[in-house]
Amino acid sequence: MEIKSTDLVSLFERSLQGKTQESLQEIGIVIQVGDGICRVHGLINAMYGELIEFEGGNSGIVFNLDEDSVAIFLLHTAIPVAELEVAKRTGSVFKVPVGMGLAGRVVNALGQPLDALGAVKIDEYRSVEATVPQIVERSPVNESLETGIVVIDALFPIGKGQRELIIGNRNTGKTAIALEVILHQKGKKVFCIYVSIGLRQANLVRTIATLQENGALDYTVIVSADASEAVLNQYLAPYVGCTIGEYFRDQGHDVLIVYDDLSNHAIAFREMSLLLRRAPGREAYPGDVFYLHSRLLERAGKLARGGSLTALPIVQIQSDDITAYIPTNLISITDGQLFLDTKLFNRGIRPAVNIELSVSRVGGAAQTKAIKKMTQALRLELAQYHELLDFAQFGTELDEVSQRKLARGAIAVELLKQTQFVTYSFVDQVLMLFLLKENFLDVVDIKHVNTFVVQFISYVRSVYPNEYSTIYRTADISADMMDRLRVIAAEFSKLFVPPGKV
Amino acid sequence: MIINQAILSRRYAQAFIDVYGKDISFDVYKAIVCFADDMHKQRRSFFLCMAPAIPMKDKERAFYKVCDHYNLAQLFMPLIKLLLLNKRIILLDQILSAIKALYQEEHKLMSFDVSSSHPLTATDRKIIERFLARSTACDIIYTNTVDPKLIAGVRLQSETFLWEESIRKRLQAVALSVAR
Repeated sequence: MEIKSTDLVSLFERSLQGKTQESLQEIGIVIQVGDGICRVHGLINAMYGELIEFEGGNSGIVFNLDEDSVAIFLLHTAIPVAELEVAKRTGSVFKVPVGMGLAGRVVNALGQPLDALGAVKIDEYRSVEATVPQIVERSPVNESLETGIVVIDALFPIGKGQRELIIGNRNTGKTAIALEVILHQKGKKVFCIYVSIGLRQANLVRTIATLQENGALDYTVIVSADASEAVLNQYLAPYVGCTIGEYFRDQGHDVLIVYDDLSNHAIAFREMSLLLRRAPGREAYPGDVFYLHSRLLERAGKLARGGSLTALPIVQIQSDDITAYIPTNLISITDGQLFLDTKLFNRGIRPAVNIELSVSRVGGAAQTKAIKKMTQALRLELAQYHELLDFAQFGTELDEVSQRKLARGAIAVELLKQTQFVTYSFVDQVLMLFLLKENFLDVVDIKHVNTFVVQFISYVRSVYPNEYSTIYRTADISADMMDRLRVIAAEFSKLFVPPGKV
Repeated sequence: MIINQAILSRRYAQAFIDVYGKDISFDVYKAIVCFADDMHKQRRSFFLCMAPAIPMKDKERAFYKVCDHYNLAQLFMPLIKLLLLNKRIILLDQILSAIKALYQEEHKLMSFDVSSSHPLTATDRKIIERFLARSTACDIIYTNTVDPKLIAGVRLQSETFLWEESIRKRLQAVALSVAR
């Protein structure tokens, strides 16, 4: 970065004109430094979580108050701290800059921009540890947050203010689902925040490129604490993202925040606790690892005064083991989970959502009426299909009813597959599920189900725009509309030509 | 472990003050400060005192000579004998620092290192003393050094407080702003 001499002169002038220090500043002396942590003798009145500044330019946060010294985690790994260096109290906790100007920007865990687009316009500074909204301040989660993913909106609907965990092995599409949800918020006045914790920089670059190509970066804030960052930054990143989200929420907006992923966050916290020589518990995690995530996720919710913060935490499991410590903690905290199955993923069923293990505890309360009507029996049909599939594998002969259920279930599974980064509006989903419910897909070859559905949607949109806009406007589907759609679907079925046939 | 040594040293110091505190006048305290500073500079040689090959009597005799130099033999030899017996003579430096700190706490004394870019006049020293006394509500003991690195200005530092107004501080702030 080129530094102009005029910039230096003005910096110096401003520095000279600065106020004289009025009183004595409380200090301590560094007695031990190492592994991103330093012990300071003195600072007798320092508070837990207080920001400390070092004379060498570094700064840190107090994490342990011992009888004779305090333990401080350093915020900058590149700035050295020497033994016997003076450490000064600032008297305040760590605060992060927030403002509407953060939309479209990539920042680190300290709120500093990483995207070389200049300084961020800041409205205020907020502490990363905030009081959670109380029960009286909240309102029930009853408004749908469209994800654009059929299997989620149909079977595990997410509402604004809900916390829905995305859980699965590595490379099962967890981040892809989160990104698709973000992409689908375009034009819906929902601000999105993507918090990257302990991930590779290459992954983040790909994510930013995807958001940018699809025009989603304008309403998204990216908070990055990649694997090379100090462990303190990885610990702070989710709280920083949440603080930014709360600022948007307090302006009356709906906000979606994705934490990718909280297993890395727990690992960073474990590292910090072990360095502080706190007693290790199960799997060497400290005793308060539950509180680490519960106080973060409880900040999500829908407020009575307006605004909401919806959280999609992601957690990675090993070998499909959802009974591990951190995943079970998060399952108990959140309002549901989307379990991504490796076997389904490898069989080509993507998104690989395991319908038996996934749940949304908010459920139909956050679902549009139209979709609710179309999916009344869908879960049961899929459950019956999976049960019968186990029998079919043994080669037993099944009766006609069971065979029809199998065929229908296969069509439902095929319908719920979705191309990556292609999302559907709720009207499109209503039309898709209508076809399934009214058995129009039973006569279609399973290979052509998705083509049939996509062309039908396009047909309705172009040939019957009134019906399309009525469903969109009312978010419901009346009995008359059902009759109308049956006629349209019958008409389309006659016109449909499968690809490859003339 | 360093932290446990600090706590242990303070316990020894507290016990010393409890027993001998009434015998420590201000002049004796000043002698203790000189003794402590010199022991701090020589702290690495305490390892030699841990060597079992050296007879206990010789170790005691050596320490007696050192303490006698500061007229503190009568006050400190019981403590030193105890430390030698328990193989904790290595803590002597930290114990002396703790004794200093406890005495200052009890008598509301505070010691400051006053660094200035140029030698201070008597008036300057009085102003500084009054400022520190007012700020800390303690009696002040300070040592004055000239540090040209300040360029222009004054730095007042104790173990727990700092006040600095100097060109060096302003330049460091500018450098930090540029780096950020």
